[in-house]
Amino acid sequence: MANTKTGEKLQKIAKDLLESGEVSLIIGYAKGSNPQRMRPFFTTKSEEAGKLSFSPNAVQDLAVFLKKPEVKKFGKIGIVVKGCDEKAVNTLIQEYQISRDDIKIIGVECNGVIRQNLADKGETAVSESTVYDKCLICEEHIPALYDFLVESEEPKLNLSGNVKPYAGIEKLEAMSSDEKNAFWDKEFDKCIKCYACRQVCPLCYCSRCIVEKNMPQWIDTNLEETGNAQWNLIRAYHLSGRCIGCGECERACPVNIPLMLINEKMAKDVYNLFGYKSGLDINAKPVFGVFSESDFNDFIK
Amino acid sequence: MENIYLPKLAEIKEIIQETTDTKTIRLTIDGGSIDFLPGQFGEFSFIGEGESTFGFSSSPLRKEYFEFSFRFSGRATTGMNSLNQGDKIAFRGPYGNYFDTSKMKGKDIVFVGGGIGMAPVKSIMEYCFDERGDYGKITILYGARSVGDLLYKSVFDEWKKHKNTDVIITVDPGGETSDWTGKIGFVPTILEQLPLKGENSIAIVCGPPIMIKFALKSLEEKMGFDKNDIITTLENRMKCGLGKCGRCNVGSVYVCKDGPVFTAKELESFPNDF
Amino acid sequence: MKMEEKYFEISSENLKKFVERIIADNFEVIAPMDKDGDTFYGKISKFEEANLDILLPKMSYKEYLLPKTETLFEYSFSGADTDIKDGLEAAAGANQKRVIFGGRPCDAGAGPIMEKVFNWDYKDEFFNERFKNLTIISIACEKPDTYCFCTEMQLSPESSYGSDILLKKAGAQYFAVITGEKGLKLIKPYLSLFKETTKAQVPADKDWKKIFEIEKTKSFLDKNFEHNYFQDRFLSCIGCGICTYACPTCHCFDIQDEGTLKEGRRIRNWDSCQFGIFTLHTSGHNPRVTQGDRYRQRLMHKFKIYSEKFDKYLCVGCGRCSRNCPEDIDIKEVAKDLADMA
Repeated sequence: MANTKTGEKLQKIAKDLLESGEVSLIIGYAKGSNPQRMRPFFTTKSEEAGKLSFSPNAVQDLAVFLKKPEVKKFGKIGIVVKGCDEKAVNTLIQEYQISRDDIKIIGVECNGVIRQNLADKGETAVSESTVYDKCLICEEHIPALYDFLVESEEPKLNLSGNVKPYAGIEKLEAMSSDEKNAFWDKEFDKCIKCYACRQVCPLCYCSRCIVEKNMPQWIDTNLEETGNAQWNLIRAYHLSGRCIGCGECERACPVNIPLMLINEKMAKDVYNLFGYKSGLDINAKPVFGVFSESDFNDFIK
Repeated sequence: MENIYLPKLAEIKEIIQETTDTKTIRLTIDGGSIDFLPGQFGEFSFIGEGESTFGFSSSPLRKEYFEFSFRFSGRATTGMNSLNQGDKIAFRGPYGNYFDTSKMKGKDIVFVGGGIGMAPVKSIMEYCFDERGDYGKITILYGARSVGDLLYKSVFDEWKKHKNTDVIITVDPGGETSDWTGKIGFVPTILEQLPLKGENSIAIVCGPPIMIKFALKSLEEKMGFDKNDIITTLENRMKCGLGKCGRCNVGSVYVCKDGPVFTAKELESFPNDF
Repeated sequence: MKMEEKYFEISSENLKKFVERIIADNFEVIAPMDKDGDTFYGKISKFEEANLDILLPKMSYKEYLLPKTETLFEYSFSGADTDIKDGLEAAAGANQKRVIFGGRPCDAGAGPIMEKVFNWDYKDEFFNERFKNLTIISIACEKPDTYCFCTEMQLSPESSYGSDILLKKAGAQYFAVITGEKGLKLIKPYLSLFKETTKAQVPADKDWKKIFEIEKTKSFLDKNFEHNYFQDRFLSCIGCGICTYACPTCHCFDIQDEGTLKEGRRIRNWDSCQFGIFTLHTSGHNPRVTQGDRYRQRLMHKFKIYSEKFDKYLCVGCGRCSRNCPEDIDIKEVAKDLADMA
């Protein structure tokens, strides 16, 4: 992969941060296992900063590593983030999982990343039909918060409006309860409980997940109808009002469950009901962490 | 065609409340014990709450029952804690290897146990008592964090009655009560004070990993035990007990099938994976 | 005694007829199918639903040998009595009318490899029943991708190991290598569609090249349990179970009870060595603390432990763990790295 201007800027920032000792670890992207893939890259050495790069194949949300004990022990960390991923950093700060002082945010302006399954089949163009739905509704091409910003070399995404993001939500909303149940039964039937949706989520940071607790056994352990539905529902609830829409769960899911339909619907409802969007402001109180008299209460009969 | 995961139902003959959080349960199948060897283990369960792995703590020569000791901490053991005499426990086993008594005959034996790790030691120890003539001097060193944490208090006196047998019970400093007459000190510390020699002796050690580590060191370095003459049992999380489910391995060794009994010599060759 | 291999020719047209006829005769035919934007194994109702052009479906067909959840036994309580109903009865005879069609030699190789662990000493008849009865028709690969490394794993894109029938494409027709009784039994009623031939007529296997020697990977693992590579390289591992669940040979499982106060079942579920709780002791002690420790275990199990115990590596080189890894950990690259360091 040729060294791009974006790459060079990232390398310079990382090198300076490591050399000055402002951070002891840089988390960024480097070239991956094929020309259409990038992978997380970790370095503590300024001389390795030259491996950093960025492209529309930088699909991973690197903020996931900020919850990992093996990474946390490095102390001060510099992290390369796209706008969507950066919202996860904000939420982690907001929820007291990391300290703003320990993080140097290296924001990258992003105009969309190519769906990995398409890229693996050779797709190289960034267009409204090749990027993730999250890119189509993105309002944070430039991250909401950053210490450094690297501008994009990619042209702005041209949105004709022909591709409707998260079109499935409207379809689901129009369904009866039975139809919705049938839809999700079929989807959850595919689930293999590999917990990739949990592990890849930057905001699923419980040190012991509810599925790992068995006194009482809240969630059935089976990988069948009951266990799978319970798992997927509890995951969704734990992320409602928190999910920042990076879409990593859906990207990682090896059996292609459309998890973003759940997450995005939740986010949409939270916005409509509370006027709250997660991940934008590190000083905001989490929507389900506060009570306001103006909250709707017509569900109380 | 046999279902290797299918347990048998055993009846609870007797429950001994050992400490505030441990019990020994004596079981019978068809009115008696089962065939097993000291050091082996089984899968025990209160059906509905899941299986747990425990070593046998009784001598296989006592034919009227077989017993195991457990601490109630998880779902399966909490379930078992709720059972009464006459209730059923599902059991499958015995599994794993065992203490090779042919190697022990005619020798002095040192038994070292810590906390609930005394359970498998008790099995082989009582086996030796049952065939007392086959062995030389027997030394028992058993310790726990506090007096309240000592298991098998009801049989200490029985142990002491045997000829040519020393029984030393110790508790960690601070764990003693005002009327405590035993030793005070960590097991490895007390072990070093005992007049033991490695010649013609076998040591059987089981307890928490840190205790095993220091006890092995003392036996080898201070008392001159050969690494092949120090025998311990390893514990790892297990599910099947049959060498299938893939979680108990230490390096290339499956604790459930190749173990749980290993010599200090074998232990030394294992990677730091336990 | 093992049957000698038999060889047949079959035209593409007749192959289609064969598949449609076994479907009509109530066989459940599992084949690669386009679904949800990718390809997965699934039950086809007509030949056209099978995607035979795809290299490999996203997941393996392991679940037909080791279901995601399997009932070991059912239980019920009435008063002081406990009634236990053996779950093996339900598994007995499973797969008798199930055919895997259009899988690849790597997937087929997984069966006899896994059979070893399920049969040392204690025999797991759940696995044996499913394996014994499942008929596997594989198609030799013409173009492996960069994640494939079956050749390094002692198989090859044209290996018949584990397949009951191996199809090799040659122009507009296929050669069918029948490896044993099971394959022969399946085609017997439809023999008019096949034309018997000799081994000499079947195109010889290509000379597939290896890029590393797996024995070297093993020899590195033999000597380097504590090597920094594991902690450094797998800092990017997030500890999900995709690699193990997509893997055709990973077979670790959990045993759990599930039910009400009156009745329930003891089940075994797929489990993964990549989960922190996998080896967690009741005391809180965990032999494998970091993700580096856990990924090392996966490598050790595949490339060292299993081969020492069972004389086979626990990997068929299908590359699914690499293709599906959300963080782009490529096991072929890792195995080669280790071989290079040996």
